[in-house]
Amino acid sequence: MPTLFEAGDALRGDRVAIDARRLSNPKTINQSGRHKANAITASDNVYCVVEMPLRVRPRDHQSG
Amino acid sequence: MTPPNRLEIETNEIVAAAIGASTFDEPRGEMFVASEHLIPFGNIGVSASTPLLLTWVASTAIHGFGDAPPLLRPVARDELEELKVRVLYLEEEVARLLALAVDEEVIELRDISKEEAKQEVLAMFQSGETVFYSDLATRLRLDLPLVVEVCQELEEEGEIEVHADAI
Repeated sequence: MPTLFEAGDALRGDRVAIDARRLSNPKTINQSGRHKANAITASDNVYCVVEMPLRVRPRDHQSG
Repeated sequence: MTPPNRLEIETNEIVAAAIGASTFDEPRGEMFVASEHLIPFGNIGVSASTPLLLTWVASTAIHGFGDAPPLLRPVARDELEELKVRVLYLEEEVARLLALAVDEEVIELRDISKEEAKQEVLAMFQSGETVFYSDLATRLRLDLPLVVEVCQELEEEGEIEVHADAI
């Protein structure tokens, strides 16, 4: 999997894990209509990764 | 009221000069930032609980004027009231933030080799539970990038897979 470093590189996912030295307080954003969202800024040595649920691969699949 | 003696007059002059008062009759300030407990001292209020002030007054009486300590800065009453409200607000904020800090969970990361991490991550999956990278990093107290790297290797080796039904 690539690790992105350039300004403008983006992540999009249902769930993103963040490691950073500093996190801002979350801010509520009013989007279109009734939709609301939260915004947060991570800074200083930030590492973000899109998360997926992982499980052990069933053995019967491997043997086939 | 008995008239002030020579020492009181000289001290009043020193204090008045320190706070910028031109004369005793027209002091520009009558309260100090240092304390709300003031005692009358001539026409000028002097903090009763300010050892620094008293030390400075005694020192200047002997050695002459020096730079006035910051405690002697005169402030207006409304400014003082505003500062009190501000201090009260800041004390409440500090208490609130301290309460948050106490609840904050601190995770001490372990420094282990990649192979050890791989074995521990694999062991976590043996229960059949579906987990995320962040779950593994928290439970095993490992660096998130290391967990991601190990999981990707395990995925390539066919040990684990994305649980699509859990998305």
